[in-house]
Amino acid sequence: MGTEFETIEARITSMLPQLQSECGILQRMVYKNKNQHRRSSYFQRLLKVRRDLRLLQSANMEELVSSCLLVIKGDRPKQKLHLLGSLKRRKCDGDKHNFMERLLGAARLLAEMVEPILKAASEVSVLFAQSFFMGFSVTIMALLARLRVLVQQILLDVVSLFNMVSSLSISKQSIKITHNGIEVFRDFYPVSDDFVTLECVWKSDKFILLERKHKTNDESHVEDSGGNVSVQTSDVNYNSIESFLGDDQLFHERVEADVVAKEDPNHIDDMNTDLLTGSSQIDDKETRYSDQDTTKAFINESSQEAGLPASSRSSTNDKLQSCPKKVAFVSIKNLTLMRHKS
Amino acid sequence: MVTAGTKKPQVSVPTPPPPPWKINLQKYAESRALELHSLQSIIENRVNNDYRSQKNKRRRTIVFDNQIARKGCRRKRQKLGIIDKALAKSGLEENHQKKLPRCVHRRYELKKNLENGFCTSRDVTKRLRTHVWHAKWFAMTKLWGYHLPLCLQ
Repeated sequence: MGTEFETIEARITSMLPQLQSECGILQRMVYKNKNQHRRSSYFQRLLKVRRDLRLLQSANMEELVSSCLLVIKGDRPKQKLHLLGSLKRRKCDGDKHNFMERLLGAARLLAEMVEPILKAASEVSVLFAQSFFMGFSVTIMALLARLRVLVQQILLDVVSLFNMVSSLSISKQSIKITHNGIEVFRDFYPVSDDFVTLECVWKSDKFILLERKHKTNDESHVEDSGGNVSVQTSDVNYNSIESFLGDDQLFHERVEADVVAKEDPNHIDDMNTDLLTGSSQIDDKETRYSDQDTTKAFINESSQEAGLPASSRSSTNDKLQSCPKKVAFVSIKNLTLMRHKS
Repeated sequence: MVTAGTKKPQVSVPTPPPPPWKINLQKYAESRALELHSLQSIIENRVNNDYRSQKNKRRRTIVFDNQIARKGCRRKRQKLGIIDKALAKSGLEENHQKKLPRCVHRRYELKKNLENGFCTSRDVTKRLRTHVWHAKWFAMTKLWGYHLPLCLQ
């Protein structure tokens, strides 16, 4: 898996500039020879090839391929989270399509580009047979030959990249973000939607693109296994997990007890109050995260009062899913405490 | 404090280098020899080794005239007597249609590019396809039932 996508990355990053240069030469040839040949049928075929290449350029393949490679590699975790989060948007939302849909459109265009290239080449070979316009026809044949090979190879690579990214977007994963020495673990849960895999089949002289739709597993099964997987994937060992898994009543009782206990200036009471403020921050982040769906992560120490009613609103399902998030944010508080002490 | 994530750097797409001013044709074709061979084999399979151009496409590029075939050119179609669908729907009868004089009608008939290659004139002499062109540049004579140009070597 690792070496495979590295070869695909090396291959496709070397082929896209070649495709651009061939496209430039084709446009130059069309520009120079348009007056002489414009009514003939082989030149009309060439104009169709040029139209398809311009469409492919407007699809902006370099950006799409780099987005896919960011998701597969994971060397920039924030952008990976952003891209995976954008996949959750539905097609109805707004005008913009996410990068997977644009990549699917580009793959469809690449699959349809081969036929005009072959037709143009067969028309130009008639010129060869008559030995008319030899310089023009030799150049165009060489150009179309290279274009055909490039287009089909790029199609194969795009299809395999698409399949890799779609399999990644289905599975659950935790992503580690490091910012100024502080580590945060974000968990990604997939949406239970249908997903598409692509396949290329060789038919007589070209590849044909097949699209298959699959359905994910049952939702209850996903939710049940979600908690276990998320707990297992996070490698950080936490000490005080059990104290946060209690009921709401116990939580309120602890709050009342600690409010009474704040009058006594003891060391143990200070530790308890710090933990409680951390938990209130966690509740606040949950509400903000669910509302805004942003990847921003920041700490507000003054949000203690707003956090308490939010915890009562949350349902049991949210609690089950959000357990690792609570644990993850406590470590930030501990790290900040360590910094202040040192 | 953990601040918000940094802004995504704007990736500027580098402009592709301009296409070359001159192409060395032999080097250009030889560097693509493998692709050319595979493309040639595919075209052989498609065309079945028949590289003749189709008859309806055999025209010189400049003098190609498809005015008769174009539907937008209505005046010429009426002149030739071709019944258009729009005209038929408008209710014009055949009697009301404008008939061409015989000389004009006959001239268009003799200009046609028939499949068997010859048009027959009034005295049963066959005309070549290129009769009009040859008649401008050569003296024409009737030999062996054909209207032929006289060429001196």
